[in-house]
Amino acid sequence: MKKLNLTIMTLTSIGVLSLCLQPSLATSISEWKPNLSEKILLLPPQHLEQAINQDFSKSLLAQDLMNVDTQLNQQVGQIQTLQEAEGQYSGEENIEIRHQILEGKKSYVELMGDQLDLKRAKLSTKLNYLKRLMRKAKRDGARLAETSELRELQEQAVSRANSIDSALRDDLFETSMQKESKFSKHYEKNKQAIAQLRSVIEAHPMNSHFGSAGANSTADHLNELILSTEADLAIIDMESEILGYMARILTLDAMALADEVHQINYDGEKVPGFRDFRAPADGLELFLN
Amino acid sequence: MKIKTLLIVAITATILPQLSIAGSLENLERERALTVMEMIDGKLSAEERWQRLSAAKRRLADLERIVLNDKKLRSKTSNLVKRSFQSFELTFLAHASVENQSSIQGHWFDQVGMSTDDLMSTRVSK
Repeated sequence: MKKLNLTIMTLTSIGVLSLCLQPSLATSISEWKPNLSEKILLLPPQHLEQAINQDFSKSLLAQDLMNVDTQLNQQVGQIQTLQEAEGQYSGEENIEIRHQILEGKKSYVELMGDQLDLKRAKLSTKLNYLKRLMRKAKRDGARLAETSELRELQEQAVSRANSIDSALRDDLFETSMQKESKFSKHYEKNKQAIAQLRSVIEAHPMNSHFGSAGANSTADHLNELILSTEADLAIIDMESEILGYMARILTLDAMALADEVHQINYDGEKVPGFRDFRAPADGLELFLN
Repeated sequence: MKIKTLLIVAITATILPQLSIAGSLENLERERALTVMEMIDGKLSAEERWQRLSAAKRRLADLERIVLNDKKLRSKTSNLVKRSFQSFELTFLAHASVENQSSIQGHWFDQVGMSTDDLMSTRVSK
């Protein structure tokens, strides 16, 4: 009898708790501060997200998320085992198992709430970081447009100078009695080395795979990533709603079980009713006897 | 007096960054100015001028290569840098003279509009 009273109290508390348990553990210290240089924009766009994910995987938030995932898997396993065993027992044992299932579900909802909070924190941080990168990419793009004319002029000058470089070298050799300068000697050597390295880069299979990572393509890719992250955040919001319904079902289940236990507790006896004494006429009997 | 000081400070603040950003270009401009002075220096004999100009051409060629390969200049939006690259013929004297198959002196005179005929047709007057 005492055990059943205790059960009722516990179940009632589960019901009440499950309504207000949603975000809890995730409000602890775990966080992710992207520790990436803005030079990440120099990477080919395809590698941008990879670098961000790699940085996240080193954070405390990632560790916490992994821990919650593991706990969730264990919790689901336990609930499934209990649900399988539920049909094999009857009476008080069956109620005890159902109680444990409700406890397990409560923990599951709690953990799922934590997981959603952690995921939301991850996605919000990622979104803010991507927006920061986007602002930088736009600034770079604007500056690139400003300097594009100058770049073009410089490229023209360089190609023009390159086309007459050997003629200039011959001319200097013929007309000047002085020794070749130290810079000139190194310049020739380095220029040849640069040309060789450039041709190797051009021929490298990964070079064509990456394509050219201009400011615009980076901005486009960042835009895609921002949209995808915002979509993920919207999914998290929907998942929170699902979790809310789960918590409500859990509360209803707990109330149903409490009601059942209550019925068994009085075992067919008339359940004492509550009389309403709010109006003076309701308490009339007290004065008549 | 205060206004004068303020004006000097403002002008210096405007000019100094332009000068400091054009490090390699400034060196080239300085060398080019010295070369032009040697070209028009009336005190030099023909042989002295030839010797000095061939040495200057070597120095100019090196400085021009430095400017052409200066990556820092690519991100600058200064008019000084832009103008220099716009007038390849005058900025890169050593390269342009070889391209035009003429001496550095002849090339410069040609670019500033002083041909042999023009010079021959001039007369000294007081």
